[in-house]
Amino acid sequence: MSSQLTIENLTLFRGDKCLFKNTSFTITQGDLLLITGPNGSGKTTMLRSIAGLVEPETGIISWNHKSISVDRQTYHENISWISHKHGFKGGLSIIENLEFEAHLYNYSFNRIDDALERLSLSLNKNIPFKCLSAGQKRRASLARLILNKNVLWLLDEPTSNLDAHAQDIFKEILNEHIINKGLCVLATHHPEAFEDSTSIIELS
Amino acid sequence: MPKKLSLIAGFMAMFRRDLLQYIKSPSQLLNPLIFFIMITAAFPFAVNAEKAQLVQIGPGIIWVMAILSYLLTLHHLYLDDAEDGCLDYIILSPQPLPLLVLAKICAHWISSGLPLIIISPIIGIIYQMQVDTILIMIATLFFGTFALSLVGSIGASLTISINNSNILVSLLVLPIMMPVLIFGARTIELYQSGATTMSGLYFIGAYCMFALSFSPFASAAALRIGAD
Repeated sequence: MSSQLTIENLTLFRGDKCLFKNTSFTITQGDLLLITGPNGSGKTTMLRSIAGLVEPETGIISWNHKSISVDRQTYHENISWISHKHGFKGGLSIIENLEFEAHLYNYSFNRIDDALERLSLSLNKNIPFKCLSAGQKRRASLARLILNKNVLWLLDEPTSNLDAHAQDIFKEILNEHIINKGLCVLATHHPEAFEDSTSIIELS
Repeated sequence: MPKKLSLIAGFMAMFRRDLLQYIKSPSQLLNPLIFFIMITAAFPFAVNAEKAQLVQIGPGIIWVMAILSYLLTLHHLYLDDAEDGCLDYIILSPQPLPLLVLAKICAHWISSGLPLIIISPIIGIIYQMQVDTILIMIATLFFGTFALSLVGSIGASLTISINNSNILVSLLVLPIMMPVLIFGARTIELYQSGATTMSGLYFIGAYCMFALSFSPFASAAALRIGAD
């Protein structure tokens, strides 16, 4: 079945400030949607509301024509989420963190080594996460994209802190996902870095 | 074909990760325990009480200190996950959130309640308790501390989006912890005076089961709202 994410009339306020109003779009397989805008414009909040983490004032978010409020679990089974917080425990190693998520997200942990190899993290896999550099932490976060194999990616500034080589690896992974008929919503300050995007939402 | 989602694997993974976390940062585990031991052990020296007085005040002091040391641990239950972003990944996982919350509560009880239970016979001896009284105290602490973890989880989840919520968590959960304190201490006192104790134990057990039936769901709902 073809996967489709539909957003209809999404409106969200933070206090008195309207972050976005009546935003609507639909993305289907092979689409890359960019959300851009200056700091504080609401990129992260929009992404969080698309993920179902923030309840919008108005609007409907549908996954495969079904509102996510009706079947949240099926929606979550299809999401890979990367935010600016890494979501790893500082006291545990990368491998311990990813093994935990393997059980939670139901992916095989035989593939963890391959994913870490691809992201050049094999030598750091047993070091406590808090001891890694900012770039290494971000790369560890990106390992989820390789491991989860979920169809909908929601990514918040995925290339922050990455060096040029790691950015190339990320773009390679993203291209593979899009070619394999995945969907991606990506919030970024640098839309020029993603030439293959199918549409852009600019927040002010 | 995708692997079938295993609820038991999800529960055990969450339980194991939290225990590993407690083991790797033992201060979270040891500070409340040392607080409990120091205050309960220092009390008899401070009041210079006779044996009969110690027997009388012992259950109340042990239970009050158990609750106070428990309150020290509660705000960490979800706040750390909210701060490092793990909470988003837990909420977005395909596993049922109440199940993962229950796993976190169980790991919290193992790291906070079980050490109190293990150390309590030594404190009981300081308060001149007989062996059979110590066994009753262990039974009350066993059910009572698990009930404290369950109701404490609700307070901790309600306050994750509030800065410096430690006092607020205590204010929220202390009133609903009172029945456990009253029945826990009173059951031991009644046993020492030769009266029947089973009704007190039944009450704590029933309170524990009642909290078990709604706390994971209430905490999960509060976490979803708090993540907003």
